[in-house]
Amino acid sequence: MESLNALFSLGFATALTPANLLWALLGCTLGTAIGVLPGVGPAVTVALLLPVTQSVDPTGALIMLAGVYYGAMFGGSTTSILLNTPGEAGSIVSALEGNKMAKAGRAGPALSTAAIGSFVAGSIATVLLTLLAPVIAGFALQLGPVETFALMMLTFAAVSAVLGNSPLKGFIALLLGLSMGLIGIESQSGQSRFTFGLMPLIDGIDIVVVAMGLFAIGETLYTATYENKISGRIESLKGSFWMSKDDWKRSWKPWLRGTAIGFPFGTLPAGGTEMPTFLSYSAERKLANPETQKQFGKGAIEGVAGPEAANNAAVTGTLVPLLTLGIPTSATAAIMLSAFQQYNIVPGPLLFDTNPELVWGLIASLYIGNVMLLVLNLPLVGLWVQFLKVPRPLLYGGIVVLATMGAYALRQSWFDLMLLYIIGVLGFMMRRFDFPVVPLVVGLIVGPMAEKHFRRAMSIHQGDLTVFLTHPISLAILVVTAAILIVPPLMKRRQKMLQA
Amino acid sequence: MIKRVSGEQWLAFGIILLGLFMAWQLQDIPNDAGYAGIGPRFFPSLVVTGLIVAGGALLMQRRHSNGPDTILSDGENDAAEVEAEDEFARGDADWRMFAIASGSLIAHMALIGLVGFTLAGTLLCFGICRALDTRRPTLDLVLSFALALGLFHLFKTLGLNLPALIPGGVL
Amino acid sequence: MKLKTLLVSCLVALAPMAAQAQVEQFKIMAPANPGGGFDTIARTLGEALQASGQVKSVVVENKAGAGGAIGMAQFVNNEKGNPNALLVAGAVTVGALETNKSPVNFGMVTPISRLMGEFNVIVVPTASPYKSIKDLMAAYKANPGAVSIGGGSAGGIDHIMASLMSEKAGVDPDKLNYIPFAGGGEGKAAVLGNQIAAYISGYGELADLIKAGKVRALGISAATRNPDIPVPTIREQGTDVVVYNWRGVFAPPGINAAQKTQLIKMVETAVKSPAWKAKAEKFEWLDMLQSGDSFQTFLNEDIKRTAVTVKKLKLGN
Repeated sequence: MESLNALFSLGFATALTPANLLWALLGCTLGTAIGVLPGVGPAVTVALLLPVTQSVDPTGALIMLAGVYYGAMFGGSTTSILLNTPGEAGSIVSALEGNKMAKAGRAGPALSTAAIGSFVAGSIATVLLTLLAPVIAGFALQLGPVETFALMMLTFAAVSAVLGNSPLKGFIALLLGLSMGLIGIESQSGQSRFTFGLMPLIDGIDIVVVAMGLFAIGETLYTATYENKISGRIESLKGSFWMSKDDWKRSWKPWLRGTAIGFPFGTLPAGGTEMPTFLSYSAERKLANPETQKQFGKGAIEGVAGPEAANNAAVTGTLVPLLTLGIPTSATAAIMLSAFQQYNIVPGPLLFDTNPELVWGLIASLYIGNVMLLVLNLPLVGLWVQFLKVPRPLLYGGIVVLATMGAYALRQSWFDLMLLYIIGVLGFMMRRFDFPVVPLVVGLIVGPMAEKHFRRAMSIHQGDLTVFLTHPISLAILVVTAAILIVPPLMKRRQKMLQA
Repeated sequence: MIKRVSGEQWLAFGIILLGLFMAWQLQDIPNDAGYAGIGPRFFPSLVVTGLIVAGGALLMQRRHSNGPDTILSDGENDAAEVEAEDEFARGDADWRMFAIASGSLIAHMALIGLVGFTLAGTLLCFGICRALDTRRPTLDLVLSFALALGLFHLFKTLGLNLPALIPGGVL
Repeated sequence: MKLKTLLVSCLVALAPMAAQAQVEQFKIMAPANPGGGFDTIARTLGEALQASGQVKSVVVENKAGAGGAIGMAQFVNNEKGNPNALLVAGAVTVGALETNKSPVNFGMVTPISRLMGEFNVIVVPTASPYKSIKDLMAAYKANPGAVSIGGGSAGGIDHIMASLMSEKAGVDPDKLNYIPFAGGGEGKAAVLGNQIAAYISGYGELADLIKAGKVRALGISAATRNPDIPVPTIREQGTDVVVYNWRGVFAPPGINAAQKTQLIKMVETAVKSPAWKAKAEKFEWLDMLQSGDSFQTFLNEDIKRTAVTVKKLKLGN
């Protein structure tokens, strides 16, 4: 309980000074405002706001950056839900159910469950960070490429379980995603694959461009082609802005499950924030009762609550290796690391001894930042929802401009705009022929990672395939994976036999 | 029974073709496996095989459902069973609108470097409004311009400069 | 691609300004995302140019991709003859251009100055049986495959260093079991978690873990020992390998000799200013300032050495 003591005597004492509270508020506000812009994800937001913090003392600056980090994460899901334009990889899943809810006039509850879910997940994850950081970090290090690869197989299996009514089409979508993921330099060998000699393809296709192409552009093309005559405008307001009793009842479990999935992933050296959102979505879909299950794909609140919580818990989780070992496990964490260095602070094993008031002040400010985000965002929900009152043509026009800008802003290359359009046409065709989109996104994100970790594991163990079974953690994960694939069909068969 | 090629079958052909194309491209990738035992060609080969097999399965699936016993059942299949000429038809597809939307996106791509973000963005936003059958074009044009201009300056304040009509200009 | 700009910064323009023959607007291209190594150099140099009163405003343009090749291509095309623009590049770019069959090369830009360098350090997990470079090299010679060596991306400076060490041990670099990790974090985790036999990275990246005793440093890739760093050089342990991860600046093609001299003067003044010195100390950059012809000579040698190694490693295609 030494850490709790330190948190209160040092942490909150530092973070609760009026000046530092102000920095936290400023950080959250700026982070939310800029994070809302598509293409400007948390990493870039932090990088852009770094110079602003230079005139502030280190503790205040880091508290402010933590606010920016959280705020930007939060801003990303807002565009995802309202405009079907995910600003960063972690909020792609939120667009699936969230945007359907928004179209059905339930944008308010969708945004609220995202906000409260983020708050719940962020707070629980911060508590875990406070109490267990060194222990978790030590454990996470034991998981090498072998275990990571096993985890990726688990993700594939979990997602394959929710392919929808046509498993074949889901499988094809997955393969298309995997194909796209092959483009670029293969990290282990340094060989470029499927780049056709085009320099811009060497680093592969940016996931944000794919997400915005598939969702925003694909949908605009589809609506223009097929739905002009169907309905006038999106139903912006049906029922309350706020979550109903039923919404609460359906949200709290997904929040907790999302947190439980997201936090451990965040602490892993190769975890990231995308995989837990997929896993959480699959879990919610699998665990839902038959009534709710029908709502999936049409706007089930569980599908927003779970992944949003998972995303936020994972983000907090990435602070565990960053603070205890100085290891950045995400692009944003890497930028945070360079922010630390600006102040001559090197995160890592010595940080808790050399700068205790700073570390504990930062952790305390995470609690405060969470509360502040909730306070800031819940009232904003009402404002955001008003955007949907914009007449449909103009709303889509705006979405497309935001999406193109997001694709263009960072690399300033028309090549990315062309990719965006081509992927938009692909998204259009996928909608036209009822192909699910999730498997494609999963294939694109998890595929290259799975290959990398497999080849890395094989290299280290010199081609010995048995390592996946002799490492106990890997074995355990693979057993669960097999169970996910095998048990449901068996259960179905048994049920059929019993009925017969 | 008249043999029809449905849109979905064209799609299946496309997927198989993509697989074959990738298989051909695969030859260019050196396959030095090193200590891993498998090289950079291994995973692509799996994906390529998967694409060809899955594309074939999709083709077969539609053949079956186009067979005489299911041809009468409408509902699910009506979307897929269409003429080759208008293979993407569903309900009343409005290809003119698709063309306007696509044209706007392509024009934006071509123009953004020449006339800057604001004007290209205005054109894009307005084009999409047209493609979505807007009722009040003039207002849309004004609002498109306002949106593009606003975003341009917002990004400028952030230090991310989007291309302008004249370098450093207000448009 | 004819367009300009992704101009970041200006927020740093708080610095005091002296009047005289100031350059109105200066442009620095960082061929990487905001926050990375090239970007830090670009922004620090920009600040130093302003703080020393030589330049009124600086725009840093970020154009990431292909280890700097994409940014360099744009720089060559758009800035031809512009005496007020600089490109940041370094050892990483040399490796990337060699491996990626890039359409641009260092012959298309005008070398101005090498600004700084970092030496590498090779570390092993604390549980490792290897106590010195000699132990490591002996084990490597006996069974190269069993000694997996991690480092930055394939063909990068860490990979080059590993293969140079392999050569000194008399083992074909082709036999090297090199595990590339993009972006530091994963690699550090792998060595901390005892997943790999050894790991190579910039000293600054690992200094804290070394000081805390979480990893064991076997040797640094510098030519001579550094008085502040209690780690012996690789060279003094019998493996003659000296590697620096340097970064420098380049002017566009087509500028004249007077403009080149002027740029060198400006950059050298900036690097000697307190604004640069303060940052360099924070990031533990070595002062490796070298300009003009001597920089050109160094660059040519580095390119030659890298090309040979990349070929031996059968990288690229």
